[in-house]
Amino acid sequence: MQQGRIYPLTSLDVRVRVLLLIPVSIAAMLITDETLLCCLFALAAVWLLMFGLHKKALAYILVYAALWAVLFPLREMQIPGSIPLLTVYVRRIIIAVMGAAPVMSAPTGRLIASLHRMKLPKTAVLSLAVFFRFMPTVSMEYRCIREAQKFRGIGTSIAGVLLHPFLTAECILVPMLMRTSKVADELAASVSVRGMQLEGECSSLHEVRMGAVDWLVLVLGFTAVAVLFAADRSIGGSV
Amino acid sequence: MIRLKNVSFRYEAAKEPSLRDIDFTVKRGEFVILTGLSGCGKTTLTRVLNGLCPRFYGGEITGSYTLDGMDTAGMTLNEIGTKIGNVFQDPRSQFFATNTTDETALAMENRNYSPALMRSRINEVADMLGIRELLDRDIFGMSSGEKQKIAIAAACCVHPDVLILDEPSANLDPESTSQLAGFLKTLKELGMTIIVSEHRLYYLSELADRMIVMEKGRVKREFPHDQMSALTEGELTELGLRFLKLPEINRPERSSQREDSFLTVDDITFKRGRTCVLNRISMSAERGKILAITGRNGVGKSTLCKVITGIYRERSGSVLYYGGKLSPRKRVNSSFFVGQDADYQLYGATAREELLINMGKAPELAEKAEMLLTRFDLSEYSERHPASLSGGQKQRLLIAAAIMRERPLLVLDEPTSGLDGKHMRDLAVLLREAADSGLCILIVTHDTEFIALAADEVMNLQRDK
Amino acid sequence: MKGSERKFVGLKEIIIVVLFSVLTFIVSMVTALPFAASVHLQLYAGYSLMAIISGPIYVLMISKAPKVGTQVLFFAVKGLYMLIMGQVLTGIIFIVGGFICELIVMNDGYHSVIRSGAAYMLHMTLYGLGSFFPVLFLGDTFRAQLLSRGYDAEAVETMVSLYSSPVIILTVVLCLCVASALGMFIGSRMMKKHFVPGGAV
Repeated sequence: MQQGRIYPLTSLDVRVRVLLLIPVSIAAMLITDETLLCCLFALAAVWLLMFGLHKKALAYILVYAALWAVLFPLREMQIPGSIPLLTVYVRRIIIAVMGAAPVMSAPTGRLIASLHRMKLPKTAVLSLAVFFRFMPTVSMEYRCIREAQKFRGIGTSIAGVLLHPFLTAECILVPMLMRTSKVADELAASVSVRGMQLEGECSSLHEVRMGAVDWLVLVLGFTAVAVLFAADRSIGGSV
Repeated sequence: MIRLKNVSFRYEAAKEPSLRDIDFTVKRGEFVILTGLSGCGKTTLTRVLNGLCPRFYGGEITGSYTLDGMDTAGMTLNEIGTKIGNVFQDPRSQFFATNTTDETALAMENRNYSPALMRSRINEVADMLGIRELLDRDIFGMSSGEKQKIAIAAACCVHPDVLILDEPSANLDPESTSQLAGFLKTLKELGMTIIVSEHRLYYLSELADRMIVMEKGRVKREFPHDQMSALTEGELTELGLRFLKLPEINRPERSSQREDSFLTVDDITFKRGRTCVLNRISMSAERGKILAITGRNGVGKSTLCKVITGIYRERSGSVLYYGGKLSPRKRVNSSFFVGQDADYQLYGATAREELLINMGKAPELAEKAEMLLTRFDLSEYSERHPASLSGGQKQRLLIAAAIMRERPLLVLDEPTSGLDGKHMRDLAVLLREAADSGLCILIVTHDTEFIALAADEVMNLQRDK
Repeated sequence: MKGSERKFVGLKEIIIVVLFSVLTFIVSMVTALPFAASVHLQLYAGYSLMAIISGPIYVLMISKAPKVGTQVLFFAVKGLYMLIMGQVLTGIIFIVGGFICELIVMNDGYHSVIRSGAAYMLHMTLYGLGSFFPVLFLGDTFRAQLLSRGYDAEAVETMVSLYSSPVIILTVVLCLCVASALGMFIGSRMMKKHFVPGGAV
């Protein structure tokens, strides 16, 4: 998560991010021509860069390139089965994930504010906020658990895991679940005393307003995807 | 301001009440310390005060609780929350937002303040507490001290009459703790009523108007400021409390390496991404001795310990046991690391099982486990689930597990962070015994009182760039 | 205003369910990895492993949050993920599935192991059949779409025949039902052994 640095689209209205996610996902699934798909991918990469998500963009580019490189020789060699399918499928999923990235990296306060304005039920808004708040921490907690396990000789080698699957699983699940349970209780207590309720009105620190830039990006985004669609149609793909 | 009369509380699942016949009054603007041995009921008392008991944590409550003249029996959690601000113990689980400004605004948003009012309050509190540079940042990168400051700011934005803090210094280094004391002083001068539930007393001894010592759910003793300052170390020890002043540390500094040490760390470098966390660190430690490792938060003490015990692989340099370089894997097998948070390290269904996990079924082992449980004062808990034990008991259980495995090196990361005076002293004795039986013990700690009791030598880790 | 008196999910329950759903979501992603190379392994072993490991997570979750809305929220994370990935049909089926699970546990259903288990079984089975739905319901349209997107004809045929074979569907359903039951059983053992004595409930 970038701190403090301002990239061109850092303050883009979250609703625009969500709205643009939809055509990008649909396009990722439906566009047939390879070149156009790559154009969509390039657009998605630029989209990420505009938010300052350089590392993610680079990672996705590398994976996409690797999958592409693997696809053609596989096709030549006529290997049946799921690996070629995978490379095609996964590339499209990557594009959809890239579309979602700016939504997931928005600070939760702004996310909540925007979702609120979109008149989503409070249950849904709170659920999403909690989700985004805790997804990143799970991997860290997992790592803590695994580190501690090493001193008991659990899960230190593949052989060990295969020989004692239940012990390993128990020693991961039990601390993880106990910890998650505790965190859930403490978080709920912490926000309850600060007045969070499912009923009732609440305001928002962030004023959610569509500015000129937001509209511009929205229109440009939709147009770009529409152009790709049209090009795809005309080349002869069936949508 | 606050008046509790004859209040008792029993948690839904418990057989015994956690609070018995509490009579407790706090005047407006008073600064009160709540302390006592772990299990004495101070956390439950804070929960009764802020309304979480019985509204959130179900249970049976009797007696009367008047807040600012109003009977709280009919009040909702939200209504009590407008008068009482809370700062909880674990910063990781009390933050809802990912951005510090959003977190600060949360309580106000829930009460439907206008954006303009919210912004002005945030500015006001930020200036008052001097935390402007902490605003609008991602909480994932912040230290515990910084998070604690945000938590206090968040609680203050709704201008509560009372602020209740639950062990706020538990994860803080000495510098952050004195900054915390500064915050509390500012708030006290502004007329806020402050109640702090704490084990560490030294940073509050000047600020407190009264200290209340609890035991087994009752108020045992009450000390107004003058009487509090007059308490001798002997009296404090008898009450099981920590001291009101930090002791001087005059232990030898462990500066350079020595030949034929048990543990030698030679020119270690460790990087995380592009940041150099450990830059050419060298040190050594002996068997039979306890070495305390101190240093500011973030300087790399925990990382150093993880490299020494083999959890992390060093980028360059070597770690040697008895002069022989060991791979990380071998280091893991020769050491035992007890991390800060016991929750991640307990796996068994009973305390006894915890000691025997993955050790096989030999009868000698079972005997040894029994002996260790007795020695560590845990035999009456041997059938209890480790997660149901108190913080101090979990620590002892983990150290017993380390000794079960007969590893020569034991490393502890902040073992006393939530411990009361009595258990802290008991732990020092235990570790002393363990060292005398031949273990090499490294302790990362901020706890000056503990260092004075337990450590033979001190090493201060600094970032030298 | 005690939590145990309300029927619908309150704030506390939402937080609990979402956190545990995050865990099951991650389990589903992680258990798919080792089997990614072979569709068959994924269908039989991968999903079954997920159902077994998620069992204790589900059991603890419903004992902390036995309210109306828990099942829907539990399914919602995966449903939303499908929607975002462009699998609209599967996403909708998941969300509908969530509501059906609610009906199964309505009116004190959480006290009955059979009903809670049935809801879990339905959840896992629907998830496992996720890739089958486009083929089963969209048939030819789907085949045409895949062909035009650059999958080669032989691979598409293999895939379609795989996902529409009754034998395979039944095997997957069977595997998942068994794995779910096993997961629930392990979950209830863990409850007795760890979660209740440890104070997690």
